[in-house]
Amino acid sequence: MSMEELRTGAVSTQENVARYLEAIEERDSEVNAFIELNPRAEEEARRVDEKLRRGEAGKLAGLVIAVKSNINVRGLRATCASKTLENYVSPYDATVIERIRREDGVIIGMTNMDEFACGSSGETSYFGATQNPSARGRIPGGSSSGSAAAVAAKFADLALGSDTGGSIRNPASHCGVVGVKPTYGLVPRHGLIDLAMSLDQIGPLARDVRSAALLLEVIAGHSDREATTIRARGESYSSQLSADLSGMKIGFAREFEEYTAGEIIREVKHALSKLEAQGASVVEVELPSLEKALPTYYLTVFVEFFSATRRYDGRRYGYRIEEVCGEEVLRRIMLGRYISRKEYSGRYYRRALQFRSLIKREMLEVLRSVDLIAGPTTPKLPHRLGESLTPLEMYAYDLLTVPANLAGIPAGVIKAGEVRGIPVGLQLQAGPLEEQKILNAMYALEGGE
Amino acid sequence: MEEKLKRQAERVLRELSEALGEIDLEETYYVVDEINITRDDSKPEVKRGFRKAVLGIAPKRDEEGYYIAETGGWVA
Repeated sequence: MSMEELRTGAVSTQENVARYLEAIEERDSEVNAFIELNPRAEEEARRVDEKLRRGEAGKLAGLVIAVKSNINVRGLRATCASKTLENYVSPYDATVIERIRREDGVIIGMTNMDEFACGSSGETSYFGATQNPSARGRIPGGSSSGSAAAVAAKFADLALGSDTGGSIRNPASHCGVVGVKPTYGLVPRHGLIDLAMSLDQIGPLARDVRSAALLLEVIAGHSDREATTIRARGESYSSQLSADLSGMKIGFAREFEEYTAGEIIREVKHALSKLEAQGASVVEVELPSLEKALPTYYLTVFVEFFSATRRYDGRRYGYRIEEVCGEEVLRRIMLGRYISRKEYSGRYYRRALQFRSLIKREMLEVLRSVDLIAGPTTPKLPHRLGESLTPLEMYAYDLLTVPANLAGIPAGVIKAGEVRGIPVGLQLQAGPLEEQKILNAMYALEGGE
Repeated sequence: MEEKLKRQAERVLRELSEALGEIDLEETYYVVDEINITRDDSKPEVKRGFRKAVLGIAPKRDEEGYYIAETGGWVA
Protein backbone atom coordinates (compact mmCIF):
# COMPACT_ATOMS: atom_id res chain seq x y z
CA MET A 1 0.00 0.00 0.00
CA SER A 2 1.38 3.43 -0.76
CA MET A 3 1.48 5.99 1.99
CA GLU A 4 -0.31 8.38 -0.37
CA GLU A 5 -3.29 5.98 -0.66
CA LEU A 6 -3.47 5.75 3.11
CA ARG A 7 -3.03 9.47 3.67
CA THR A 8 -5.83 10.40 1.25
CA GLY A 9 -8.13 7.73 2.63
CA ALA A 10 -8.31 5.86 -0.70
CA VAL A 11 -7.53 2.75 1.33
CA SER A 12 -8.77 2.31 4.91
CA THR A 13 -6.70 0.74 7.66
CA GLN A 14 -9.10 -2.21 7.75
CA GLU A 15 -8.67 -2.74 3.98
CA ASN A 16 -4.90 -2.46 4.35
CA VAL A 17 -4.82 -5.07 7.11
CA ALA A 18 -7.19 -7.35 5.19
CA ARG A 19 -5.03 -7.22 2.06
CA TYR A 20 -1.89 -8.07 3.99
CA LEU A 21 -3.59 -10.92 5.86
CA GLU A 22 -4.76 -12.30 2.53
CA ALA A 23 -1.24 -12.07 1.08
CA ILE A 24 0.18 -13.83 4.16
CA GLU A 25 -2.48 -16.53 3.94
CA GLU A 26 -1.67 -17.09 0.25
CA ARG A 27 2.12 -16.94 0.27
CA ASP A 28 3.67 -17.17 3.75
CA SER A 29 3.69 -20.97 3.67
CA GLU A 30 6.52 -20.53 1.10
CA VAL A 31 8.31 -17.59 2.75
CA ASN A 32 7.88 -18.48 6.47
CA ALA A 33 8.24 -14.86 7.54
CA PHE A 34 5.80 -15.03 10.46
CA ILE A 35 5.74 -17.12 13.61
CA GLU A 36 2.45 -15.73 14.88
CA LEU A 37 -0.22 -13.33 13.61
CA ASN A 38 -2.04 -10.83 15.79
CA PRO A 39 -5.63 -12.06 16.19
CA ARG A 40 -6.67 -8.53 17.19
CA ALA A 41 -5.20 -6.78 14.12
CA GLU A 42 -8.55 -6.27 12.36
CA GLU A 43 -10.16 -4.93 15.54
CA GLU A 44 -7.22 -2.56 16.10
CA ALA A 45 -7.53 -1.41 12.46
CA ARG A 46 -11.22 -0.65 12.97
CA ARG A 47 -10.38 1.56 15.95
CA VAL A 48 -7.71 3.41 13.93
CA ASP A 49 -10.22 4.07 11.13
CA GLU A 50 -12.62 5.56 13.69
CA LYS A 51 -9.87 7.87 14.92
CA LEU A 52 -9.04 8.81 11.33
CA ARG A 53 -12.68 9.77 10.76
CA ARG A 54 -12.59 11.91 13.89
CA GLY A 55 -9.30 13.50 12.79
CA GLU A 56 -7.50 12.24 15.90
CA ALA A 57 -5.18 9.65 14.40
CA GLY A 58 -1.41 9.51 14.92
CA LYS A 59 1.33 9.61 12.31
CA LEU A 60 1.44 5.82 11.76
CA ALA A 61 -2.32 5.58 11.22
CA GLY A 62 -3.18 3.10 8.52
CA LEU A 63 0.24 1.48 8.48
CA VAL A 64 0.71 -2.21 9.19
CA ILE A 65 3.82 -3.24 11.10
CA ALA A 66 5.48 -6.63 11.61
CA VAL A 67 7.59 -7.14 14.74
CA LYS A 68 10.65 -9.32 15.27
CA SER A 69 9.96 -12.09 17.78
CA ASN A 70 12.47 -10.79 20.33
CA ILE A 71 10.42 -7.65 21.07
CA ASN A 72 7.63 -7.85 23.64
CA VAL A 73 4.13 -7.20 22.31
CA ARG A 74 1.53 -7.77 25.00
CA GLY A 75 -0.57 -10.87 24.36
CA LEU A 76 1.65 -12.20 21.54
CA ARG A 77 4.48 -14.70 21.86
CA ALA A 78 8.04 -13.37 21.99
CA THR A 79 9.66 -16.72 21.26
CA CYS A 80 13.03 -15.48 19.92
CA ALA A 81 12.38 -18.31 17.43
CA SER A 82 13.43 -20.80 20.11
CA LYS A 83 11.75 -23.74 21.77
CA THR A 84 13.03 -22.19 25.01
CA LEU A 85 10.34 -19.50 24.82
CA GLU A 86 7.76 -21.19 22.60
CA ASN A 87 5.04 -20.59 25.21
CA TYR A 88 6.21 -17.17 26.40
CA VAL A 89 3.27 -14.81 25.95
CA SER A 90 4.49 -11.25 26.54
CA PRO A 91 2.90 -9.73 29.65
CA TYR A 92 3.78 -6.17 28.58
CA ASP A 93 4.57 -3.94 25.61
CA ALA A 94 8.15 -2.88 24.89
CA THR A 95 8.62 0.91 24.90
CA VAL A 96 8.89 0.93 21.08
CA ILE A 97 5.55 -0.91 20.84
CA GLU A 98 3.89 1.57 23.21
CA ARG A 99 5.15 4.38 20.97
CA ILE A 100 3.88 2.65 17.80
CA ARG A 101 0.46 2.10 19.37
CA ARG A 102 0.35 5.74 20.52
CA GLU A 103 0.80 6.78 16.87
CA ASP A 104 -1.83 4.25 15.72
CA GLY A 105 0.33 1.72 13.90
CA VAL A 106 -1.27 -1.74 13.69
CA ILE A 107 0.86 -4.74 14.69
CA ILE A 108 0.15 -7.59 12.28
CA GLY A 109 2.30 -10.28 13.86
CA MET A 110 5.61 -11.60 15.12
CA THR A 111 8.28 -12.44 12.58
CA ASN A 112 10.71 -15.30 12.23
CA MET A 113 14.38 -14.82 13.09
CA ASP A 114 17.58 -16.66 13.87
CA GLU A 115 17.22 -18.32 17.26
CA PHE A 116 17.92 -15.68 19.95
CA ALA A 117 19.33 -13.53 17.09
CA CYS A 118 22.33 -15.90 16.92
CA GLY A 119 22.87 -16.09 13.17
CA SER A 120 23.27 -14.19 9.94
CA SER A 121 21.26 -16.40 7.63
CA GLY A 122 17.73 -16.85 9.03
CA GLU A 123 18.30 -20.62 9.09
CA THR A 124 18.67 -21.28 12.82
CA SER A 125 15.02 -20.70 13.78
CA TYR A 126 13.21 -23.45 15.72
CA PHE A 127 10.25 -22.62 13.45
CA GLY A 128 12.17 -23.34 10.25
CA ALA A 129 14.24 -21.23 7.86
CA THR A 130 12.87 -18.16 6.10
CA GLN A 131 12.98 -17.95 2.31
CA ASN A 132 14.36 -14.85 0.56
CA PRO A 133 11.39 -13.41 -1.40
CA SER A 134 13.76 -11.36 -3.59
CA ALA A 135 16.16 -14.22 -4.45
CA ARG A 136 14.35 -17.55 -4.27
CA GLY A 137 16.38 -20.44 -2.92
CA ARG A 138 18.79 -18.11 -1.12
CA ILE A 139 18.96 -17.13 2.54
CA PRO A 140 17.24 -13.85 3.44
CA GLY A 141 20.04 -12.96 5.86
CA GLY A 142 19.65 -12.54 9.56
CA SER A 143 18.98 -12.35 12.24
CA SER A 144 15.92 -10.17 11.41
CA SER A 145 15.14 -12.59 8.58
CA GLY A 146 11.35 -12.62 8.90
CA SER A 147 11.10 -8.83 9.28
CA ALA A 148 13.08 -8.18 6.07
CA ALA A 149 11.26 -10.96 4.22
CA ALA A 150 7.84 -9.69 5.37
CA VAL A 151 8.60 -6.23 3.99
CA ALA A 152 10.11 -7.59 0.75
CA ALA A 153 7.18 -10.00 0.20
CA LYS A 154 4.65 -7.19 0.82
CA PHE A 155 3.19 -8.79 3.95
CA ALA A 156 3.43 -5.48 5.88
CA ASP A 157 4.21 -1.81 5.27
CA LEU A 158 7.00 -1.75 7.84
CA ALA A 159 8.83 -3.99 10.26
CA LEU A 160 10.88 -3.73 13.42
CA GLY A 161 14.16 -5.58 13.64
CA SER A 162 17.05 -5.54 16.07
CA ASP A 163 20.71 -5.10 15.15
CA THR A 164 23.59 -6.31 17.31
CA GLY A 165 26.20 -6.79 14.58
CA GLY A 166 24.25 -6.29 11.35
CA SER A 167 20.97 -8.09 12.00
CA ILE A 168 18.87 -5.37 10.37
CA ARG A 169 21.33 -4.37 7.64
CA ASN A 170 22.38 -7.84 6.50
CA PRO A 171 18.83 -9.07 5.69
CA ALA A 172 17.90 -5.63 4.30
CA SER A 173 20.78 -6.03 1.85
CA HIS A 174 19.95 -9.61 0.87
CA CYS A 175 16.21 -8.87 0.48
CA GLY A 176 16.64 -5.51 -1.26
CA VAL A 177 14.82 -3.35 1.30
CA VAL A 178 15.72 -0.33 3.46
CA GLY A 179 17.05 -0.96 6.97
CA VAL A 180 18.36 1.41 9.64
CA LYS A 181 20.41 0.67 12.75
CA PRO A 182 20.17 3.79 14.93
CA THR A 183 22.87 5.31 17.13
CA TYR A 184 23.30 3.20 20.27
CA GLY A 185 21.03 4.71 22.91
CA LEU A 186 18.70 6.56 20.55
CA VAL A 187 15.96 3.92 20.69
CA PRO A 188 14.99 2.41 24.07
CA ARG A 189 15.78 -1.29 24.42
CA HIS A 190 13.23 -1.83 27.20
CA GLY A 191 11.24 -4.89 26.13
CA LEU A 192 13.88 -6.15 23.68
CA ILE A 193 15.11 -9.61 24.61
CA ASP A 194 18.83 -9.02 24.42
CA LEU A 195 21.59 -10.79 22.55
CA ALA A 196 24.39 -8.47 23.72
CA MET A 197 23.19 -5.51 25.73
CA SER A 198 26.05 -3.17 24.96
CA LEU A 199 25.50 -3.54 21.21
CA ASP A 200 21.76 -4.17 20.56
CA GLN A 201 19.56 -1.54 18.92
CA ILE A 202 16.00 -1.72 17.57
CA GLY A 203 15.43 -0.19 14.14
CA PRO A 204 13.06 -0.03 11.16
CA LEU A 205 12.86 -2.00 7.90
CA ALA A 206 10.78 -0.62 5.03
CA ARG A 207 10.31 -0.64 1.27
CA ASP A 208 11.12 3.07 0.99
CA VAL A 209 13.21 5.61 2.87
CA ARG A 210 10.36 7.92 3.89
CA SER A 211 8.47 5.22 5.77
CA ALA A 212 11.69 3.98 7.43
CA ALA A 213 12.32 7.57 8.57
CA LEU A 214 8.76 7.84 9.87
CA LEU A 215 9.00 4.67 11.97
CA LEU A 216 12.40 5.72 13.29
CA GLU A 217 11.12 9.10 14.48
CA VAL A 218 8.25 7.38 16.30
CA ILE A 219 10.41 4.89 18.22
CA ALA A 220 13.41 7.18 18.92
CA GLY A 221 13.90 9.25 22.04
CA HIS A 222 14.89 9.03 25.68
CA SER A 223 13.07 6.76 28.12
CA ASP A 224 13.37 6.72 31.91
CA ARG A 225 12.92 2.96 31.85
CA GLU A 226 16.25 2.38 30.16
CA ALA A 227 19.58 3.42 31.57
CA THR A 228 21.40 3.51 28.24
CA THR A 229 19.06 5.74 26.25
CA ILE A 230 20.66 9.06 25.57
CA ARG A 231 18.99 12.34 26.34
CA ALA A 232 18.05 12.99 22.74
CA ARG A 233 14.67 13.36 21.12
CA GLY A 234 13.81 11.61 17.89
CA GLU A 235 14.03 14.21 15.13
CA SER A 236 11.33 14.63 12.54
CA TYR A 237 13.41 12.66 10.07
CA SER A 238 10.68 12.13 7.46
CA SER A 239 9.82 15.82 7.08
CA GLN A 240 13.48 16.79 6.78
CA LEU A 241 14.34 14.40 3.94
CA SER A 242 16.32 16.05 1.16
CA ALA A 243 17.93 14.53 -1.91
CA ASP A 244 20.20 17.53 -2.39
CA LEU A 245 23.63 16.23 -1.37
CA SER A 246 25.57 19.38 -2.28
CA GLY A 247 28.63 19.67 -0.08
CA MET A 248 28.30 16.17 1.34
CA LYS A 249 31.61 14.29 1.58
CA ILE A 250 31.44 10.50 1.41
CA GLY A 251 34.35 8.24 2.30
CA PHE A 252 34.96 4.84 0.69
CA ALA A 253 37.50 2.67 2.54
CA ARG A 254 40.08 0.89 0.39
CA GLU A 255 39.89 -2.09 2.83
CA PHE A 256 36.33 -2.80 1.61
CA GLU A 257 37.73 -4.01 -1.73
CA GLU A 258 40.15 -6.35 0.01
CA TYR A 259 37.38 -8.26 1.83
CA THR A 260 34.44 -8.05 -0.61
CA ALA A 261 33.54 -9.91 -3.81
CA GLY A 262 34.32 -7.85 -6.92
CA GLU A 263 30.77 -8.13 -8.29
CA ILE A 264 29.40 -6.52 -5.10
CA ILE A 265 31.99 -3.73 -5.20
CA ARG A 266 30.96 -2.93 -8.80
CA GLU A 267 27.33 -2.37 -7.73
CA VAL A 268 28.41 -0.30 -4.72
CA LYS A 269 30.62 1.94 -6.88
CA HIS A 270 27.77 2.38 -9.34
CA ALA A 271 25.55 3.57 -6.46
CA LEU A 272 28.30 5.95 -5.31
CA SER A 273 28.41 7.52 -8.77
CA LYS A 274 24.65 8.19 -8.44
CA LEU A 275 25.29 9.97 -5.13
CA GLU A 276 28.00 12.05 -6.84
CA ALA A 277 25.43 13.05 -9.45
CA GLN A 278 23.30 14.43 -6.59
CA GLY A 279 26.11 16.71 -5.44
CA ALA A 280 28.16 14.51 -3.09
CA SER A 281 31.92 14.08 -3.41
CA VAL A 282 33.52 10.67 -2.83
CA VAL A 283 36.99 10.36 -1.31
CA GLU A 284 39.12 7.41 -0.26
CA VAL A 285 39.56 6.75 3.48
CA GLU A 286 41.39 4.13 5.51
CA LEU A 287 40.07 1.73 8.15
CA PRO A 288 43.22 -0.28 9.03
CA SER A 289 41.60 -1.97 12.07
CA LEU A 290 38.68 -3.38 10.07
CA GLU A 291 40.17 -6.89 10.29
CA LYS A 292 40.05 -6.68 14.11
CA ALA A 293 36.34 -5.88 14.18
CA LEU A 294 35.05 -9.44 13.80
CA PRO A 295 37.07 -11.06 16.63
CA THR A 296 36.37 -8.02 18.84
CA TYR A 297 32.66 -8.32 18.18
CA TYR A 298 32.31 -12.07 18.67
CA LEU A 299 34.40 -12.27 21.84
CA THR A 300 32.17 -9.53 23.29
CA VAL A 301 28.95 -11.17 22.13
CA PHE A 302 29.79 -14.64 23.53
CA VAL A 303 30.23 -13.23 27.05
CA GLU A 304 27.24 -10.87 27.02
CA PHE A 305 24.98 -13.52 25.45
CA PHE A 306 26.01 -16.12 28.05
CA SER A 307 25.15 -13.61 30.76
CA ALA A 308 21.79 -12.79 29.12
CA THR A 309 20.79 -16.46 28.89
CA ARG A 310 21.14 -17.14 32.64
CA ARG A 311 17.53 -16.04 33.09
CA TYR A 312 16.26 -18.95 30.96
CA ASP A 313 16.26 -21.41 33.85
CA GLY A 314 12.76 -22.78 33.22
CA ARG A 315 11.41 -21.60 36.58
CA ARG A 316 9.31 -18.53 35.78
CA TYR A 317 8.66 -19.18 32.09
CA GLY A 318 9.83 -21.34 29.20
CA TYR A 319 12.33 -24.18 29.34
CA ARG A 320 15.92 -24.35 30.56
CA ILE A 321 17.79 -23.09 27.50
CA GLU A 322 20.61 -25.65 27.35
CA GLU A 323 18.09 -28.49 27.26
CA VAL A 324 16.18 -27.33 24.18
CA CYS A 325 18.17 -24.79 22.15
CA GLY A 326 19.81 -25.26 18.75
CA GLU A 327 23.49 -25.79 17.93
CA GLU A 328 24.54 -22.17 17.38
CA VAL A 329 22.95 -20.96 20.59
CA LEU A 330 24.54 -23.79 22.57
CA ARG A 331 27.93 -23.11 20.97
CA ARG A 332 27.77 -19.44 22.01
CA ILE A 333 26.68 -20.35 25.55
CA MET A 334 29.62 -22.77 25.82
CA LEU A 335 32.03 -20.14 24.53
CA GLY A 336 30.65 -17.44 26.83
CA ARG A 337 30.85 -19.73 29.85
CA TYR A 338 34.42 -20.74 29.03
CA ILE A 339 35.55 -17.13 28.51
CA SER A 340 33.83 -16.00 31.71
CA ARG A 341 35.63 -18.70 33.71
CA LYS A 342 39.00 -17.78 32.21
CA GLU A 343 38.44 -14.04 32.35
CA TYR A 344 40.53 -13.47 35.49
CA SER A 345 43.47 -13.22 33.08
CA GLY A 346 41.71 -10.59 30.93
CA ARG A 347 42.65 -12.72 27.96
CA TYR A 348 39.48 -12.51 25.89
CA TYR A 349 36.67 -10.17 26.98
CA ARG A 350 38.85 -7.42 28.43
CA ARG A 351 41.09 -7.51 25.37
CA ALA A 352 38.01 -7.32 23.12
CA LEU A 353 36.84 -4.24 25.02
CA GLN A 354 40.26 -2.66 24.50
CA PHE A 355 40.07 -3.31 20.75
CA ARG A 356 36.56 -1.88 20.83
CA SER A 357 38.10 1.40 21.98
CA LEU A 358 40.51 1.27 19.03
CA ILE A 359 37.76 0.60 16.47
CA LYS A 360 35.49 3.29 17.92
CA ARG A 361 38.33 5.82 17.87
CA GLU A 362 39.21 4.95 14.27
CA MET A 363 35.62 5.14 12.99
CA LEU A 364 34.97 8.48 14.72
CA GLU A 365 38.28 9.87 13.45
CA VAL A 366 37.35 9.05 9.84
CA LEU A 367 33.86 10.49 10.38
CA ARG A 368 35.41 13.80 11.44
CA SER A 369 36.80 14.18 7.90
CA VAL A 370 33.75 12.89 5.96
CA ASP A 371 29.97 13.02 6.46
CA LEU A 372 29.39 9.37 5.65
CA ILE A 373 31.33 6.16 5.17
CA ALA A 374 29.80 4.27 2.25
CA GLY A 375 30.54 0.70 1.29
CA PRO A 376 29.17 -2.80 0.87
CA THR A 377 26.97 -4.40 3.55
CA THR A 378 28.15 -8.00 3.29
CA PRO A 379 31.38 -9.36 1.79
CA LYS A 380 29.57 -11.98 -0.29
CA LEU A 381 26.21 -12.80 -1.83
CA PRO A 382 23.69 -14.79 0.24
CA HIS A 383 24.33 -18.53 0.05
CA ARG A 384 21.76 -21.13 -0.98
CA LEU A 385 19.37 -22.25 1.76
CA GLY A 386 20.67 -25.39 3.43
CA GLU A 387 24.26 -24.97 2.25
CA SER A 388 26.70 -26.04 4.96
CA LEU A 389 29.04 -23.38 6.38
CA THR A 390 31.49 -23.58 9.29
CA PRO A 391 30.80 -21.21 12.23
CA LEU A 392 33.67 -18.93 11.18
CA GLU A 393 32.44 -18.80 7.56
CA MET A 394 29.01 -17.79 8.86
CA TYR A 395 30.45 -15.14 11.20
CA ALA A 396 32.35 -13.63 8.24
CA TYR A 397 29.05 -12.27 6.86
CA ASP A 398 29.19 -9.67 9.64
CA LEU A 399 32.65 -8.28 8.92
CA LEU A 400 31.43 -5.02 7.38
CA THR A 401 28.47 -4.38 9.68
CA VAL A 402 29.94 -4.96 13.16
CA PRO A 403 32.12 -1.79 13.26
CA ALA A 404 28.99 0.41 13.49
CA ASN A 405 27.78 -1.53 16.55
CA LEU A 406 31.19 -1.47 18.20
CA ALA A 407 31.44 2.30 17.66
CA GLY A 408 27.76 2.91 18.52
CA ILE A 409 27.19 4.89 15.33
CA PRO A 410 24.12 4.81 13.05
CA ALA A 411 24.12 2.91 9.75
CA GLY A 412 21.59 2.36 7.01
CA VAL A 413 21.25 0.03 4.05
CA ILE A 414 19.49 0.54 0.74
CA LYS A 415 19.50 -1.52 -2.43
CA ALA A 416 22.45 -0.55 -4.65
CA GLY A 417 21.74 -2.97 -7.48
CA GLU A 418 21.64 -6.66 -8.29
CA VAL A 419 24.13 -9.39 -9.14
CA ARG A 420 22.52 -12.18 -11.20
CA GLY A 421 19.12 -11.12 -9.82
CA ILE A 422 20.30 -11.09 -6.19
CA PRO A 423 19.95 -7.74 -4.37
CA VAL A 424 23.09 -5.99 -3.14
CA GLY A 425 22.87 -3.32 -0.43
CA LEU A 426 24.86 -0.12 -0.04
CA GLN A 427 25.76 0.57 3.60
CA LEU A 428 26.04 4.17 4.83
CA GLN A 429 27.52 4.97 8.26
CA ALA A 430 27.56 8.37 9.99
CA GLY A 431 28.63 9.99 13.24
CA PRO A 432 26.52 9.57 16.42
CA LEU A 433 22.98 10.98 16.05
CA GLU A 434 23.53 11.82 12.36
CA GLU A 435 20.75 9.53 11.10
CA GLN A 436 19.41 12.35 8.93
CA LYS A 437 22.55 12.36 6.75
CA ILE A 438 22.15 8.62 6.13
CA LEU A 439 18.45 8.96 5.37
CA ASN A 440 19.08 11.87 2.97
CA ALA A 441 21.72 9.96 1.02
CA MET A 442 19.45 6.91 0.80
CA TYR A 443 16.58 9.17 -0.26
CA ALA A 444 18.75 10.61 -3.05
CA LEU A 445 19.69 7.13 -4.21
CA GLU A 446 16.04 6.15 -4.22
CA GLY A 447 15.31 9.05 -6.57
CA GLY A 448 13.62 11.39 -4.09
CA GLU A 449 13.52 15.14 -4.52
CA MET B 1 26.84 -33.57 19.60
CA GLU B 2 28.20 -31.76 22.65
CA GLU B 3 31.72 -33.07 21.88
CA LYS B 4 31.50 -31.78 18.28
CA LEU B 5 30.30 -28.37 19.46
CA LYS B 6 33.06 -28.24 22.06
CA ARG B 7 35.71 -28.90 19.40
CA GLN B 8 34.19 -26.23 17.13
CA ALA B 9 34.01 -23.77 20.04
CA GLU B 10 37.67 -24.33 20.93
CA ARG B 11 38.67 -23.68 17.32
CA VAL B 12 36.54 -20.53 17.13
CA LEU B 13 38.02 -19.19 20.34
CA ARG B 14 41.60 -19.97 19.28
CA GLU B 15 41.25 -18.37 15.86
CA LEU B 16 39.42 -15.27 17.07
CA SER B 17 41.84 -14.57 19.92
CA GLU B 18 44.85 -15.10 17.63
CA ALA B 19 43.34 -12.71 15.09
CA LEU B 20 42.89 -10.09 17.79
CA GLY B 21 46.50 -9.89 18.95
CA GLU B 22 47.72 -7.61 21.76
CA ILE B 23 46.87 -4.02 22.62
CA ASP B 24 47.20 -1.62 25.53
CA LEU B 25 44.18 0.70 25.69
CA GLU B 26 41.32 1.58 28.03
CA GLU B 27 38.28 -0.68 27.67
CA THR B 28 35.01 0.55 26.17
CA TYR B 29 32.07 -1.08 27.99
CA TYR B 30 29.22 1.06 26.71
CA VAL B 31 29.46 3.60 23.95
CA VAL B 32 27.11 5.85 25.87
CA ASP B 33 29.26 8.03 28.11
CA GLU B 34 26.58 9.08 30.54
CA ILE B 35 24.38 6.27 31.74
CA ASN B 36 21.20 7.46 33.42
CA ILE B 37 21.63 5.38 36.54
CA THR B 38 20.64 8.29 38.76
CA ARG B 39 17.25 8.88 37.17
CA ASP B 40 14.58 10.62 39.20
CA ASP B 41 12.22 8.42 41.15
CA SER B 42 8.70 8.50 39.85
CA LYS B 43 5.47 6.99 41.07
CA PRO B 44 5.52 3.20 40.67
CA GLU B 45 3.44 2.12 37.75
CA VAL B 46 1.28 -0.95 38.26
CA LYS B 47 -0.22 -2.30 35.08
CA ARG B 48 -3.55 -4.03 35.44
CA GLY B 49 -3.39 -7.69 34.60
CA PHE B 50 0.42 -7.81 34.60
CA ARG B 51 0.74 -10.15 37.59
CA LYS B 52 -1.91 -12.48 36.20
CA ALA B 53 -0.23 -12.50 32.77
CA VAL B 54 3.17 -13.29 34.29
CA LEU B 55 1.79 -16.12 36.41
CA GLY B 56 -0.08 -17.39 33.37
CA ILE B 57 3.19 -18.31 31.63
CA ALA B 58 4.83 -19.96 34.66
CA PRO B 59 5.54 -23.65 34.04
CA LYS B 60 4.48 -24.62 37.60
CA ARG B 61 2.70 -22.58 40.25
CA ASP B 62 0.48 -23.22 43.26
CA GLU B 63 -3.03 -21.97 43.99
CA GLU B 64 -1.74 -18.98 45.94
CA GLY B 65 0.30 -17.73 42.98
CA TYR B 66 3.78 -18.89 44.01
CA TYR B 67 6.20 -20.50 41.59
CA ILE B 68 7.09 -24.12 42.21
CA ALA B 69 10.72 -24.85 41.39
CA GLU B 70 12.89 -27.83 42.22
CA THR B 71 15.64 -26.67 44.57
CA GLY B 72 18.89 -26.44 42.65
CA GLY B 73 17.32 -27.90 39.52
CA TRP B 74 18.11 -24.78 37.52
CA VAL B 75 21.76 -24.48 38.46
CA ALA B 76 24.00 -24.91 35.43
